[in-house]
Amino acid sequence: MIVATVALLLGGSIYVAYRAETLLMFSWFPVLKSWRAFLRQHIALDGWPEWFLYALPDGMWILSYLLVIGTIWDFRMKDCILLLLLMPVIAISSEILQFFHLMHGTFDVYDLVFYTLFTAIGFYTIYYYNHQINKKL
Amino acid sequence: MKKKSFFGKIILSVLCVIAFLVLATASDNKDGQSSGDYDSDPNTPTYIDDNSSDYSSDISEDSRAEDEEYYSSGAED
Repeated sequence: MIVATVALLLGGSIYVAYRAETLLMFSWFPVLKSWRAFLRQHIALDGWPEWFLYALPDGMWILSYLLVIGTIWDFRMKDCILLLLLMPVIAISSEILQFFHLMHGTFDVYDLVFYTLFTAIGFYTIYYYNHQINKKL
Repeated sequence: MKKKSFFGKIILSVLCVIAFLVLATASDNKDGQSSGDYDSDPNTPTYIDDNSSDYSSDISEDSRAEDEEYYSSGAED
């Protein structure tokens, strides 16, 4: 759960710091504007690769989701496989739909790569912990 | 007891799904555009003509040359 929270906070901070203030989150949660200003004051905006700024937060979001669901279900993958698959399927399919212009938004290959990569990391982590728990029993 | 725990997990999972979907929705733009629209400073001009100063200097030099020609021809009389 700690790793999930850290992933979400880290990804969220990158997202908040580098995205336009027209995002809905800034009107829903005005406190994020102060957080954004703080981050922009203390972290250099230049020099970061595009994938770090725009695709990594998406990957962190997926990873965080998988770890939270995995924690709720005590890392028993069989019990929560549908829930685990839900968000990656939504994210990856929406990206594919964007590629075919069937959904609004811009297709980004980095997004697709990071969704897939972090989904794999999330599943492997859950599998690993499940394995460790089974070993102890 | 075991059943209650199962429902607790279901409720927590549903809340988690909603929370993450809210996060995903919140990352969209107000005008419904994708979050793939990256940050930009509204004060930054979208097009900067690097040669604009050269053009203006050309124009001023041209007009100066024309003026000199005009005055030297005695047109002011």
